[in-house]
Amino acid sequence: MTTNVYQLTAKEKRFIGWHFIVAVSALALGSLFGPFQAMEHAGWDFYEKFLNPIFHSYYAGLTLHGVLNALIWTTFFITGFLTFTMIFGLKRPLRYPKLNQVGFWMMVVGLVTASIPILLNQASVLYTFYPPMKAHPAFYIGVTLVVVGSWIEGWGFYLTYYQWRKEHPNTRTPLIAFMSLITMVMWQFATLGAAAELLVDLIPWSLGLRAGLDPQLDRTYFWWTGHPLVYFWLLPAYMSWYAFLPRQAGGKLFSDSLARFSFWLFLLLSVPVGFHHQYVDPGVPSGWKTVHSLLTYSVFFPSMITAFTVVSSLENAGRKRGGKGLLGWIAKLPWNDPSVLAQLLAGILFFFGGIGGLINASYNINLVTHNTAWVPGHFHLTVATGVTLTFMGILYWMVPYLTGKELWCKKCAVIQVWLWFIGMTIFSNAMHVVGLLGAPRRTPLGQAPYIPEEWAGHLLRVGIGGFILLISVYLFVAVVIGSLFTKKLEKEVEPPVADSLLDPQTTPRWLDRWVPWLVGVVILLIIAYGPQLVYQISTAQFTSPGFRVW
Amino acid sequence: MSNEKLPDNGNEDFEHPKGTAVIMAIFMLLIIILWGSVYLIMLSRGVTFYG
Amino acid sequence: MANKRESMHIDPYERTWIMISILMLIVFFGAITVAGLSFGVRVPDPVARVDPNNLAASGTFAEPGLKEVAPKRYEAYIVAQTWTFNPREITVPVGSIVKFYVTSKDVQHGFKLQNTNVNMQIVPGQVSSLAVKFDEPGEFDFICTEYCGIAHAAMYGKVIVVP
Ligand code: HEM
Ligand SMILES: [Cu+2]
Ligand SMILES: [Cu+2]
Repeated sequence: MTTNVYQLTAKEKRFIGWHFIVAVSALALGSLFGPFQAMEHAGWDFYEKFLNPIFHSYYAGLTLHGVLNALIWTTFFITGFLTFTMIFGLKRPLRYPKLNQVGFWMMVVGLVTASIPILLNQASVLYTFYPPMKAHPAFYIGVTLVVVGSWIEGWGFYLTYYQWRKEHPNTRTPLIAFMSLITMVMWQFATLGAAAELLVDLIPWSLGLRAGLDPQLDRTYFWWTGHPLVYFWLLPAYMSWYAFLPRQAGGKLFSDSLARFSFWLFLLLSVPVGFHHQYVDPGVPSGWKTVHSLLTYSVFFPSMITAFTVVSSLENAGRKRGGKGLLGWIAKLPWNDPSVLAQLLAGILFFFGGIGGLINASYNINLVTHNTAWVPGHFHLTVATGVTLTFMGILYWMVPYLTGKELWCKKCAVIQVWLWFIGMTIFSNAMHVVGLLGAPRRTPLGQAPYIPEEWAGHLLRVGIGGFILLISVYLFVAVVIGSLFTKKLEKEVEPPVADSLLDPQTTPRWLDRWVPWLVGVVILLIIAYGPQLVYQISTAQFTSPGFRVW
Repeated sequence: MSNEKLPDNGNEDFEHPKGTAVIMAIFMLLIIILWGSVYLIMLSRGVTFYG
Repeated sequence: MANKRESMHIDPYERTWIMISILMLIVFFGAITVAGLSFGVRVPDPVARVDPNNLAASGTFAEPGLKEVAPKRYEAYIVAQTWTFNPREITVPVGSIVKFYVTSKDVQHGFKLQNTNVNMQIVPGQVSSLAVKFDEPGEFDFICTEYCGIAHAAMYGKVIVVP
């Protein structure tokens, strides 16, 4: 990485920048509702006061919140970031830039198509859109276009890689390009479930071409995609922790080969685990639930590798900066750099998200947590912090890199990150606790008639955390927008890609071969899903007509 | 590519990650405590299957 | 270039950490298996299919409610619908074992009986079933835990356990 750094052209930078503009806009609108939901739980219902009649109800807002944050902010950020890591990693332009542009614009068209019915309250079905709730067809078509657009961008990456491989037959794939490819390949296996659900069931049904659906079967399709969706969010964040953060902190990646090995395991194990979201479903036999529980436990294994490898890379950095003793290196890390700070704090909360995930995954323990406030408490530590705060941290160096201008108000960025950390700690702890006490999710608890006294204190903390997060979100948006108008940097930002302690060329060859792993993915999918899919499809009863219940 | 590097450059600043081991030990302890407490909550809420 | 020494580079500390993690996962999995198989904290299994558009024709849900099958053993047939449960209230004597059978006649719902491990997804066309034993007198709310439309927050019922 030391010599011949590839310089992205202005055009490439602009293309990536457009992804981020859409992503940040989605976050800016989508995250408006989160704090409002949280404050509603505390009994401060600003929905009626401020959001009506533009946003019709709690659920129109919650649908926007889920879709814009979990689907749009993430997908646009990720495709943009991976475009960068592919080009920069392989040190060459995209093979067919036009193809990637087609993918991007298809995603934009999909976003607009899906947003209109949501804003008109024609699709308040939440981001999981479980049938037989029936949204306007434009909602399903829009979501489909976003997914297909992201596939097309992925195909652009594969073709670029194929060309690179022909030119460099014996070189290990550069780590960041390798990780980007795994992310995209995983995503394409993952979205087969949603594709089946949308194309075969929901779209024809919403258009009136099919009379009824089998909601249980559609849940199975949905969660084929729904779980690996979280790994689609997570892997780019892991990539930043493995391959950028060590350099930003002043060190090296501790183990290139373990980093790759863990990514292969994520590819292998992310998809065949979807029944862990269906532990309490009536139509899935408990034996298959156990199988997926075991497989989910296996995904914990590469996460543990990641935890160790990332922390030891940070230790390496802190020691180089003069850290002494067992833990003295921690204080030496550059905590005042907003990009590093964001990723460190994201990582800390993600530890706890991981623990909650292991609890949810534990089969019968899921009876305690399923569909309670615990679950949003959990995934605001993972996707809304581990991932989102990391992406914010990435933008804190990437926006200056793309625009060639200074970051506006670095201090504001540091404060923003701390506010997110503090707000989320309060919010998610309270959500976990009140969930354990039995509070349901997806419920405006301020209106529920069954709230016992003992929940009140925790719901208050939910609201306080949400309020702090409200400030943090818009401080973030302000820093990003502000940075478009600052003065030119004297020296261009150099993307902080970390070297590894050992030359990547010493990484075993089997960690750079695709075919055996892909065959493994297919076999595992057939084992984990094959029998149940055949059974559920062959016994399906397409009896449910659509309902509009909002 | 990195031709200037020797094949065995791996011993460069090599040191066992002691601090990481400590942090991971704390992490493991937290996992056991938190997982265990929800497990106990589950047990305290009784049985769902009577043969 | 091609003949560099290949190695996995796993630090002994990291190897130990991985081993301990795996051991921990095995212990955890053992613990939940024991809770399921020996103690009987289990998740729902498929029990029956129904036609959500015509529950009256499907025998057991024609007249939802409580049925005594043996002394202190009951079956409770409950229909979830927007935005209520039918029936909304059930009364049983203390010490009863109640097996719940819940289905939906419209969209998906949830059924969570507070302070017990009964927590189920209710899916039209399917019957969700778990059992519980009431050892103390008192009231137990069952609430809908899945978004089912605009008045979802109001959807609940209760089990009254009398001495
Ligand atoms: C700005 C701070 C945020 C706050 C205060 C917040 C708050 C909330 C609350 C209270 C809920 C639960 C609503 C309910 O169950 O009734 C919720 C749901 C959710 N949030 Fe957030 N959120 C925030 C940011 C985010 C971000 C950044 C993401 C993703 C990147 C996200 C993703 C989600 C998702 C996927 C749901 C579930 C929606 C559903 O149940 O359909 N949130 N949020
Ligand atoms: Cu999952
Ligand atoms: Cu409901």
